[in-house]
Amino acid sequence: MGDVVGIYSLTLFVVAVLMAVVSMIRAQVRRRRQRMLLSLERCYVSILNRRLLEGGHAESQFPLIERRSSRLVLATVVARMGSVTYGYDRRVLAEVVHCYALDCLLMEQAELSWGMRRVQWLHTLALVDCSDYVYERLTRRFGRSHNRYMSLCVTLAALNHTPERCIAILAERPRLSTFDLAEVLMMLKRGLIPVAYQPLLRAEQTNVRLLGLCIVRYFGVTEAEDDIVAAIASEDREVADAALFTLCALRLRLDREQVRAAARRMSAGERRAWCRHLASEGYSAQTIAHILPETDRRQMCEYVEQTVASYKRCLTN
Amino acid sequence: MVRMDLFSIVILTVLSLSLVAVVVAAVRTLAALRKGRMLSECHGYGSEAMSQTGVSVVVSGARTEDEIEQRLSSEYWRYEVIVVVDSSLDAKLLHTLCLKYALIRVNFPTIEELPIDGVAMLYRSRQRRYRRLVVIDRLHRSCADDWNCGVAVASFDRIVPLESDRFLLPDALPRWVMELHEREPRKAEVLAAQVAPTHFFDRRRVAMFSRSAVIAAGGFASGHPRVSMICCLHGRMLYLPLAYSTAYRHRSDNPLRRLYITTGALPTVVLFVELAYQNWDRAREALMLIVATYVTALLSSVIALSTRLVVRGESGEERTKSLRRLLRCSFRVY
Repeated sequence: MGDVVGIYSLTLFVVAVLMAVVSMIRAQVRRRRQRMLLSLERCYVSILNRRLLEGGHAESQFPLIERRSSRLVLATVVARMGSVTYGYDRRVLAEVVHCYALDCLLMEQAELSWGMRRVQWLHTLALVDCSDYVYERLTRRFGRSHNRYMSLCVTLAALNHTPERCIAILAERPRLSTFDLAEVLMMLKRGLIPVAYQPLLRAEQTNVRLLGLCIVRYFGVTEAEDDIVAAIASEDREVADAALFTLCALRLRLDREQVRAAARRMSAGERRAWCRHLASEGYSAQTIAHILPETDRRQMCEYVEQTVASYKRCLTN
Repeated sequence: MVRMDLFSIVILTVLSLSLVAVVVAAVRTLAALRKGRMLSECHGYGSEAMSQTGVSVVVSGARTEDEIEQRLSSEYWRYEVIVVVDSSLDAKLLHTLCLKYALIRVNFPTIEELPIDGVAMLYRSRQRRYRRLVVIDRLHRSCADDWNCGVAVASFDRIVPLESDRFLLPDALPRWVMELHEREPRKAEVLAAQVAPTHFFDRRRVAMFSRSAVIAAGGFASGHPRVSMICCLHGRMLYLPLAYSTAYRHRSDNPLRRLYITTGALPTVVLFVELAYQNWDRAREALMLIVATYVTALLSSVIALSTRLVVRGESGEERTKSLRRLLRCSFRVY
């Protein structure tokens, strides 16, 4: 037994010393590398800016581009710039991607890495204009991934690649979380997908309707009132809740039969929560009392009045 | 004397299991950190579109206005900070808050769902920029009572109860909400997270509770209100610090350290017993076990501290200093 304990102690000691040394060396190397990549990134940003301003006619070359790490930096810079530049010719960035085969490089990098790092590379790939070959490779390799972030990246890449199929692509996805919707909405904001909310709100798939409601809420489209009210009557609870939330967020009229029916469907706790939400959104006690079911109205009236009185604030300052 | 084989096997098993637990905790923390970094680069993260879920942060016993100011500075869209103060203990603080934030007295909505008493006043700000602040003046009895009172007036359906010495990290609320929506949000009654600066197996937690679940459970109970509530609700643990604490904690509070001290004490006793009986072979084995305990503690300390270094994400001089500290601390074993 003594030998086993000795071997155990010796092994752990060696591992501890190695870990401490490797950790120190890694930190030093990483610091030096990060400094170099940061200066390279600044340089690439200024070159790309110049190209965007001059419509792709600028002649300046990217320094150290033959290195793989430099091209990865360039790919990240292109993805970031593509997502924050509005009104410029996006073909300039697409040309850079195709000229240096950045999409292939990102795909290779995603295949080589794993876990969240892979998701990070896939997300960068979803933001650049990839070629048909890389898009096919991406959908073949990661299209059926069980990791929700990887499948979101594939969806984003699909939306970027074929924006005209956006409804079909979103309908194919199992369930969009709030974060997924926010990511899709960001693509829409950048002008990659058309802002046509009506077909989205009138579609049958939950995902598409949720995106439609998100667009309406985000852009404050009060003209979509009828579609929102129709969505409140939907049997899909998720859509109905999102529609109610949207109606309140747009400060639209609540005194409708569909809203009353939705209030009747709620449990007592949910109804109280909703009343609090309405009070904080600025609706009056009378309006809230009108939409409550009659059986509950007397009991809830005092609570609603107190809640509204509590939330009334002087907003003149 | 002592049956050394069985004794050595037990000690080695305990040590190996503790080491495996440290490695698992380190891997989980690093994975959560990497996920956080990936998400922070996404444009949808923390955007207005994500703000369907509102969060009420309930703070019990805030002592200074700076503490309140710091808590109001989150960048999440839909949240409010409910501060529970006791004017009978510190009337000056309430007066200062009223002046600084232009607070006005408003109705306290009576709620039958939770037993609330001792509430003197409820204040909200007249100024739109401080619309997220709610101040409750009540007799302080315990944190649990203050939190229950906060739950009663909370506008939103998610509650984050905090003590006066705990603060949320800048990205905490969007990250919490994102994790909430990752799986069925209706079913997640609680999402617990760690408190930084942390060592592994730190029992200090912060958590985001569903308001209806807290009410259904009868509110927070005194004793360890947060921990008991986490235990009785359905949810999961996020292996990432989302809050930090300013309270001083001695390293003897570390349960891992206590484990190693206990494990090391047993062979030490055996060593002296065997030395007294001049049984040199067994004394040598006991000595080896002491060394094994020390080396395990050393390795787990290296793993824990290097993980903490990565989590902190320091660079430049700060990182070099931390690395030096890492080496020094590794040999001190916590």
